[in-house]
Amino acid sequence: MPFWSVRWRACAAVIGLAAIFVPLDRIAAKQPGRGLRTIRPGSVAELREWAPRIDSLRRSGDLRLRIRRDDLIVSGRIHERYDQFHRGIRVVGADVAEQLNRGQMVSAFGNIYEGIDIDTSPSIDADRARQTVGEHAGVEIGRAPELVVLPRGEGGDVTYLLAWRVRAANERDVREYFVDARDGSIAFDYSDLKTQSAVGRGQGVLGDTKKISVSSSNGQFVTTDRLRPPAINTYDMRGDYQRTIRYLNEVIQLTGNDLASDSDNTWTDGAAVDAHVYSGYTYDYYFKRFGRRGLDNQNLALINLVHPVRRQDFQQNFPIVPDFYLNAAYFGNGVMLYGEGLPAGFTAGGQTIDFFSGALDIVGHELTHGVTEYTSNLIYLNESGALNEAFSDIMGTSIEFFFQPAGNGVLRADYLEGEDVFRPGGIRSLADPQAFGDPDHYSQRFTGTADNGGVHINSGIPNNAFYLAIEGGTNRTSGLSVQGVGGGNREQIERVFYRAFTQMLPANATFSVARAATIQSARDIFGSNSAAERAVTQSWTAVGVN
Amino acid sequence: MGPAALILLVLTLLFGNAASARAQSWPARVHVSVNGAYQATSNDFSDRFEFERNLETGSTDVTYPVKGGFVFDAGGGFRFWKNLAAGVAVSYFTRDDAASTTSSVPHPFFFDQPRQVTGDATGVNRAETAVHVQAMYLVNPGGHLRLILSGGPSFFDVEQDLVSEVVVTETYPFDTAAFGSAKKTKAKGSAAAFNVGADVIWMFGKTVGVGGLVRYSRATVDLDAPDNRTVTVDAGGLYAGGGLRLLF
Repeated sequence: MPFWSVRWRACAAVIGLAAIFVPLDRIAAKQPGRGLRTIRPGSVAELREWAPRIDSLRRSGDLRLRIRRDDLIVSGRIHERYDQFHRGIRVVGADVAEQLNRGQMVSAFGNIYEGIDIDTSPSIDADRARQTVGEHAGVEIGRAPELVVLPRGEGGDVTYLLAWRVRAANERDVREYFVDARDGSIAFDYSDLKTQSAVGRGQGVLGDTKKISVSSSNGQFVTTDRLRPPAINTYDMRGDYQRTIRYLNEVIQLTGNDLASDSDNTWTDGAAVDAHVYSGYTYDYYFKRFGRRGLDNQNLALINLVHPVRRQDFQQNFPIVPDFYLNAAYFGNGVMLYGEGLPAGFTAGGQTIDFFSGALDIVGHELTHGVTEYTSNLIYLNESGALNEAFSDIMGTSIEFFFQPAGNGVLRADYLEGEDVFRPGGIRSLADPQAFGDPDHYSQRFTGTADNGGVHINSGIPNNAFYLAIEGGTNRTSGLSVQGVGGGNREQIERVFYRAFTQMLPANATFSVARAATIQSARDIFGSNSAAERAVTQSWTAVGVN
Repeated sequence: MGPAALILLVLTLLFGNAASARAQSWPARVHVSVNGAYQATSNDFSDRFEFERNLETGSTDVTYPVKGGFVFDAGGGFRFWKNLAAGVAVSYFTRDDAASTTSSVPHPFFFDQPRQVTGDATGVNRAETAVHVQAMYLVNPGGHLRLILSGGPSFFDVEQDLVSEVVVTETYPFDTAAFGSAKKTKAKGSAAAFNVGADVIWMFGKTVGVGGLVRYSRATVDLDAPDNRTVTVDAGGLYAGGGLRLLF
């Protein structure tokens, strides 16, 4: 859903990361007798069946102890890990983890391979394998290769390959190579590069400094947040609007090379910094305030797209993709796109427009469309559409108050929408919708067909109800006063609205239904005749919704 | 009045008159003592170190209790002229205590929102080895009783476990963190001090006896801590005990 007035119809794209380690995955489901046997006893009886078998393998030397550790959580327990060997040669990906209590096996899990029937005499030596990999990776390798049995799955059978395992690192990657010990060819290789989380220093769109949760990999930092439960990736589309569209239409997938990156972890691309940081803040808000785990409550990955166009290409590209400059949009399935704003010297309606990700309430607004998508799924038309927009405005504002100090101006929490990007003033007001030409009373609602029946217009009515329920005051149109719960108790009204909008509203809810649901929600949480119930009831009445 | 002065005053009052009035010659050239004693002085100290984490400076304050405890003491002396002797004694003190830590750990997402983490580092060891060089005055009041008054320089060698890092456990949303463990490093330092003491001996025969020892010796030692820091601690103190005496 767009943040501003233009509606997007594009479908969402979902990135599916293909598994790299194909052979072991493939052989994981093969039939017993030859191939993989998975040890996962579900009962004591099954465990007893496995115990002598494992013991036999141990005594024959086919299972060899790799690690023995005391259990740090359950006192007295010991964990042992055994690797599988075939005639003294390690079998890749085959091991057994045992749990012991006073010498007795309590559990055992693992994978072992049966029916290994290969000759274990290599035709090429370790030096040749090392040379082969070195030439392939473009590096000199000093580490001694290890002769291994590599299980490989193809069709319904498992085959085994005697191979030299060689690890090679260069400036881009760390890879495990398996060189066929018969003919010296590289039979299989995969990246073993482990990235790790890092905290960087970022400068936002407005020049403010903030921490940014990223990942480091080979001395390069990329916008992958590994500290929060969901994957949060921010991709720099580098001004390639055609590629952006192709991605949104699932024609292409994005890779790690598309992530925004930085060499010293001091980030200066404000658009990328704020998209990445603020989407994390939004996740934090929902988690801390409501215990919600992301858009779908199951830690759906968040994908931010920044720089779909470049400001320097404005005159060339604006006529083609104006919304890549002047909008932010949620495309579904966790994908957000943030507009580039206007180049210096350009204004719209007397306002300068900065990178859209630079406003926390905009980011919160867009991601809240995702929450709505996975909950009430309010139909984006007429009153339900206005409720959809209002809920995004309400949550965007609430997120601002959660993270920023209250006040006027940029980087301050207030009841304006988008004021940090649309300067001066923002584009909507919850406190005074009329200031932007939006209705603050049901009697003044827009009844035309534009803007999907005024979803960005009539949102002013529930927006004002939310504002009045917190701050209290008088509705400009009705003149009715509301006794709000007060800014110090804003959490009450946030919880009331969140609960009603995510769990109680039907998809085609009207304002009247929203009134009833929020009052019910207040009553459920805080009790009948509570301050919250009174404030919510009075506020809906003040905005003319009964 | 310090412990050393107190010891001297008491001994003077107890034995001064007798020593001057009825003092007899000391019957042996060499004497040896082996003692078990209790060090009554606590040498608690505190430390603070800073660390960089999540782009900010965090800190850990550590309070180290070094309570009194068992001291092993052994020494001997050689009478070189009349009732004057020179000697040396070695004392060894060691004990483990739990140090309490309070850390301020920067948040990974936000500036100026540190988490406070407290916990105890167990098994924090202090070991003090002191060599006491002594000038001795030997008093033989007669009968079974003997008295040795001593004083001189002491040389302390201190080994102290210092908390060098507090490992915290933390999970999303990282607004709190918990004490996980503490990493320790051993810091060492040496210093000179003085000692004064008295040894009251009851002889069973000509050679063998038992004695009661009181000694005060205390030093201030600079320990070489990690990150080129110096941690200043007190070592030693008043200890009293008793043991075997041999006179030759």
